[in-house]
Amino acid sequence: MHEESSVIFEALADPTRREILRLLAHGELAATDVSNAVTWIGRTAVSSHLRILRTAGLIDERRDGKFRYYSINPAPAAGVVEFLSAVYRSSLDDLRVPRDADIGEADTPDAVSEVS
Amino acid sequence: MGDVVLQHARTFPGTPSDLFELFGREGGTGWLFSAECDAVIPGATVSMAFPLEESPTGREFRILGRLTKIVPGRSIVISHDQPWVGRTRITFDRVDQSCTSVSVRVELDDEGMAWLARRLGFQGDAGFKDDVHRIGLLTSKTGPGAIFAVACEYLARMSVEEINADGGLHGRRVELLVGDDGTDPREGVIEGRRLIRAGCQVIIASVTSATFEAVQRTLAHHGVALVHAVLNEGGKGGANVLRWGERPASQLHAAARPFMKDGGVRDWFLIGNDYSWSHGAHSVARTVLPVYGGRIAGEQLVPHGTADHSNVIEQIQHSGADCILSTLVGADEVAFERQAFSAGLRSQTRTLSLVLDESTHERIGTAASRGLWAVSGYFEALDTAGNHAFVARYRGRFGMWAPPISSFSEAVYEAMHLYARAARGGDIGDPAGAARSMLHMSADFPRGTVRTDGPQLIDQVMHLAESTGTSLRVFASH
Repeated sequence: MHEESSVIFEALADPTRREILRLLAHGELAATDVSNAVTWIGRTAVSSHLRILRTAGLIDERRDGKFRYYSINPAPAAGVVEFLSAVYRSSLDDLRVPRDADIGEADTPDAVSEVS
Repeated sequence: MGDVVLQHARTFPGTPSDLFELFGREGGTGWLFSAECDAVIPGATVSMAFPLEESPTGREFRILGRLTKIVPGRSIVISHDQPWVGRTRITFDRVDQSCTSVSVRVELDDEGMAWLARRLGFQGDAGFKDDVHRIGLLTSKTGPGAIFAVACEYLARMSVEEINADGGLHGRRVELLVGDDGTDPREGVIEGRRLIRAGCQVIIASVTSATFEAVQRTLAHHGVALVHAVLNEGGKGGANVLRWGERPASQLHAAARPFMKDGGVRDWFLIGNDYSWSHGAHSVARTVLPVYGGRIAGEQLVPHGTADHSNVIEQIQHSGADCILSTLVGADEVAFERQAFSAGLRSQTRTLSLVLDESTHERIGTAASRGLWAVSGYFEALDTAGNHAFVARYRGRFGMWAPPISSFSEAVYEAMHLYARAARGGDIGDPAGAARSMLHMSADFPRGTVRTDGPQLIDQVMHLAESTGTSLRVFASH
């Protein structure tokens, strides 16, 4: 498993975090504005979601005095490719042969390539 | 094709044939997003559940496509149409006596990537350009409506290519932007707003009435022209709003007499989805069917996305009805007709469906669709020279495995051309003027001659068709 893609996959796999991305898509927001919009969870949980998104490189944080502001990282394409790739990889892993367990990773490494 | 390519391989115990046999097996493995298909043969439709868990505002979605190439025990190729255009190729290679390497190669285009990015939360804008004339298509790439919308995008693209080949509009190239409402009115408004921000002069909508009404209520004041191109129950619209497509009254006036006479039936059970379209259509049915001697034996409305119809099937069996009027849409219609067939309802009743287009029809499957009846202004099997040429052009452009054309997608093609004609006759950047011109137009299309008369009417011949299992064959025209 590639470590970086795993972080992006985990970040995008959560519906609340995807909702936060949708909010930020319209422009930069203060942490309190994000909390006010995501009403179904508490402030602490929102902070933790913002931290995960920032760690995955999907959003940027700006500090101004005691306020923190968040915005979308403008280069999401790589993140989307990684996410899609991880979803397909995990679907392939779900292939279960009725009689035995599978015997592990293939010798051919996973490849992710972009062709123009 | 294919701007992005992903590839994964993994080794499993078993021979290539063993592993090949597991594809699409119900309850067997659940791999490749629990791919569902009736048969592993070229041309069979495939539906896969992309595992994006339920979100507060989004929905999990299905990838719709069909098997296009099969080499038994060796490889399977699936071409996708919704929500993105692409291809998945699965190959099975023997590693040794007991093991096989299974490789999955996925291709999708840039527009598919942009769609997925938006669905994941990256709300990318197309940016404003003033050297092109932008036309928006609002359609359902996901949700229950995705099935009936499947060819709309292809035909929108074909009409835009034809308009551009004709010199574009006012010397500018026409560019198509596509919005996806996910069969959800709130999502439709968000996407409609995105199309308007990008400078679209007109939005041609192939969506449910629920989405169209939300869009016109919220966005009509922006001054763009809004056209509901597909069948709907009608309703008030402001300036710049046109609602075309079949109406339930004209469908039922055309179908009721030949349908009841041919089957010797008259007691109707009405089944639909619980929203404005079915409410409107059922209210019309209660007025129109008695005119031809029909009686209403029962009625049931179910929420969008209903997968289990066993209760209503039981209700129908106990109602004494000998015929069914279905106004269910998309995936719900597919689920209902398959279950009604399994429950043996077909031998006791005959069914007329108001939203049985060719895409929905093929996903019901050959066995369960045989003997269903549909009524609309267009069928792909329409036997006219104009339609044969149109179908040949479509297949030539998008290939033999492109999804079937239906009244929904043909109506999008028509609406694009009618708008282009109206815009050519007016000033640059005057969508209100174009909308006014569209109130009174007449033109020949693959379905025949159509005539618009005010914001609410498109005059056209209606056809009643019966399913042979593989196609919808015209029985009577009115």
